[in-house]
Amino acid sequence: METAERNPERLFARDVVATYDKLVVRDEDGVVMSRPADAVMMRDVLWLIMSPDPDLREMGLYVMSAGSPRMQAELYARVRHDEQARSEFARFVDAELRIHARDNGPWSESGKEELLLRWTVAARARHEWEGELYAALDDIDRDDLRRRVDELRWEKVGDTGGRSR
Amino acid sequence: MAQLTTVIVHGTWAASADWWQDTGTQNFWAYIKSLTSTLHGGTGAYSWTGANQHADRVFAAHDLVQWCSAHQVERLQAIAHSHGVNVCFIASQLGLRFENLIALACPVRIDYLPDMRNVDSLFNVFSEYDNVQTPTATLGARRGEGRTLGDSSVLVNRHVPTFTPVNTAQSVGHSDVHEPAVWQGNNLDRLIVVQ
Repeated sequence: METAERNPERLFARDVVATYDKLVVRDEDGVVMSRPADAVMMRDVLWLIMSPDPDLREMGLYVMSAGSPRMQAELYARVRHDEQARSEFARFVDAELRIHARDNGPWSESGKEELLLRWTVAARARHEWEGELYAALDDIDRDDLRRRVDELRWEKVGDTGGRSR
Repeated sequence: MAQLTTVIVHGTWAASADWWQDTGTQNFWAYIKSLTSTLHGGTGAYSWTGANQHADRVFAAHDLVQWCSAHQVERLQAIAHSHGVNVCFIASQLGLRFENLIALACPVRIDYLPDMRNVDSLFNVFSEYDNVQTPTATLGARRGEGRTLGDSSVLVNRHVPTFTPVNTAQSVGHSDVHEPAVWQGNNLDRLIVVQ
C-alpha cells in the first residue's frame, strides 16, 4: 500500500533510494553495494545526510552504511562545515564499533560456539572497516571523528545488554 | 499476578539517542512511564549496539533473552522501534515470550519473522509516509510491501499516517512514531498493558 507522499523532498528521496535495489549485491555478511555505486551514492547521501528532516538523514545513513570506507571518508570531509551531518556520521560509526565492547561477552561461557565464531568474524570485519575508514581520513577529520565517537562512548553495552556510565 | 516489565527497544544507530532512555527529560520514555509504572529505566536498561548488521540483531536478541533472565522478568511487554522490532522477533524465535509487543515502524523482512507461538499480542504500527521503513526492509529481504504483517486474532496492524485523524497536514515519518504527540493523536496509549 503506497499512497501519495505530499512532501516533495521525501518523495524524491524515496525514489532515489529505491534505485539502490538495482545496485545491491549480497555477500555472506549481508547486503552491500556494488563498488561502482560509490560515486552515485556519494552524490545522493550528501544531500540526504545534510537535510533538516530526520527521516532523510536516516535514509542517508542506511545508504552510506553500504558504501566503501573510502567513500565514507570522503563524505565526512565534504560535510566538514555541517555540524549536524558530522554528528549523524559519528552516531553511525559509534554504533558500528560498539561490537568491540562485546568481544569478551557471555557467549563463550554459554557454550554458543557457533555464535561466538560468527561474532568473532563480524568483529574482525568491523575492525578492518574501522582501520580503512580512519586511514582514509585526513588528520583533522580523523581527530574530529575520534573525538565525537569518544563522546558517544560514555556508556558501554554490558554483558547482558545493560548500560552503564 | 506475576509482575509485568515493560522495556523500550531502540532501533538502528539509536543506542546513544535520548528518546528511549530515562534521562530526566520529557521524552518518549517519560511519556510511556506516565502510562505504566512497569517501564524499566535508569542504568542497566536494555540496549544493543544499534549497528546496521544482521549479526548485531541476532546478538541483541540473545542479549534481550539474557537481560530478561537476569532481571527475573515474569511478564514482558516491549515497545520496539525499527530494527529493534526485528530484535524482538528474533528473540521470540529463541523462545522469549512477549505478553504484548508494540512494533513501531518495523522494516518487515522475510528473514526476521516472529514466532507467534511466543507472542500473546502484537500491534504493528505503521505509516505509508515512513520513507525509512521501506528502504531498510528493501535493502535486505523485504516481506510484501515491507510494512505490515498478516492480521490475526493476536496481530493487529495499526495504520497511523498522520499526527491526528483530524489534522492530516502532518504525515508520520519513521522517527515520528515514537513522538508522544503521535501517540496521543492516534490513541496509541490504548495499546499499552498498564500492569
